[in-house]
Amino acid sequence: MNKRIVLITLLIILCSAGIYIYKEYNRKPARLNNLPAVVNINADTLISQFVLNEAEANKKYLGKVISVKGFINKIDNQQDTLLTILLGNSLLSTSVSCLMDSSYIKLKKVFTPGVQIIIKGICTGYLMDVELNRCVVE
Amino acid sequence: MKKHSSVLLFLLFFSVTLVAQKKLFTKTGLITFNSKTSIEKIQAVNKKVLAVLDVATNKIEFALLIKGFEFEKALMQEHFNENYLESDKFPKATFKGKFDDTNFTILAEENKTVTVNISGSLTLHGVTKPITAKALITTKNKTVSAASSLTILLSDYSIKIPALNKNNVNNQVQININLANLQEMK
Repeated sequence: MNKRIVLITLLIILCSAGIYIYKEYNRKPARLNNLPAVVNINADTLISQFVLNEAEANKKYLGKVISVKGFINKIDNQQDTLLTILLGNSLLSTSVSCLMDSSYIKLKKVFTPGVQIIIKGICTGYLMDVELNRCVVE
Repeated sequence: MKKHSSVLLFLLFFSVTLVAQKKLFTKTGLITFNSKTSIEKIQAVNKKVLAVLDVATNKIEFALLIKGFEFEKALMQEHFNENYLESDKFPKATFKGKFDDTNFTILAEENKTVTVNISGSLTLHGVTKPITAKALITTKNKTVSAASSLTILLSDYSIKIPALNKNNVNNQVQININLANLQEMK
């Protein structure tokens, strides 16, 4: 009787582990709509932090979900495959470059330059602009 | 007739000079990489590659953020960043190189494709190694684009594959580069 209980318990544990491994292996990257931002920040403040001390800003923001408030200075729609919204002062050479989630291309949502907006995305670092990926509008 | 030829020659020289001074760039270059074994195929894409092509000096540079690579599976993306590329420690990859023996007058012509040799150094995971590759430069619909493909070895860049994953991850990785719609830098 005891042997039977042990066998059934082992079987349950093995099955649960198998299901967990399968689910974990096939897990898709989480959609940002459902993830809270760890930081809420103004676009100009974020830009100045990266320009002044990139290493320090990387420590704070790299790989984190952040919510950025700023004015749209440019919309770059590349043949309906890549939609990038640039936030920040258009007179400066650096912006916050938000690569929008692909769902926004299908939605054909209209964005207008000069309008203030809050965009949430994953900060991937700083090249010519501060880069955010998989962005959604808040 | 002679006068017309002189004007034509002047215009040709002028347009070639203008082309020769150009710096072309993109902030949305595309780089994909593929690692294939009999067990697993790993593929990722980075859609925000910064590339600058200096026509006057034949130089090309590009930079990308390692965390900008997107995978279909979240676990692969996490392992790639944490265990393989250590993107918190080495957030960028860069390439600095030169086109060999290239006459960029092609950029003034429509619907042309030219194959060029590129040599330079790739810095990845904090390691810099020389690489060479062939690239195609195309002019079409008044835009310039460049594409290349090369193979690198992870071991060359001190990227270690854990013993447990030896059969899942190939040491040889194919990289495809596509820089479409290069804009003139002002």
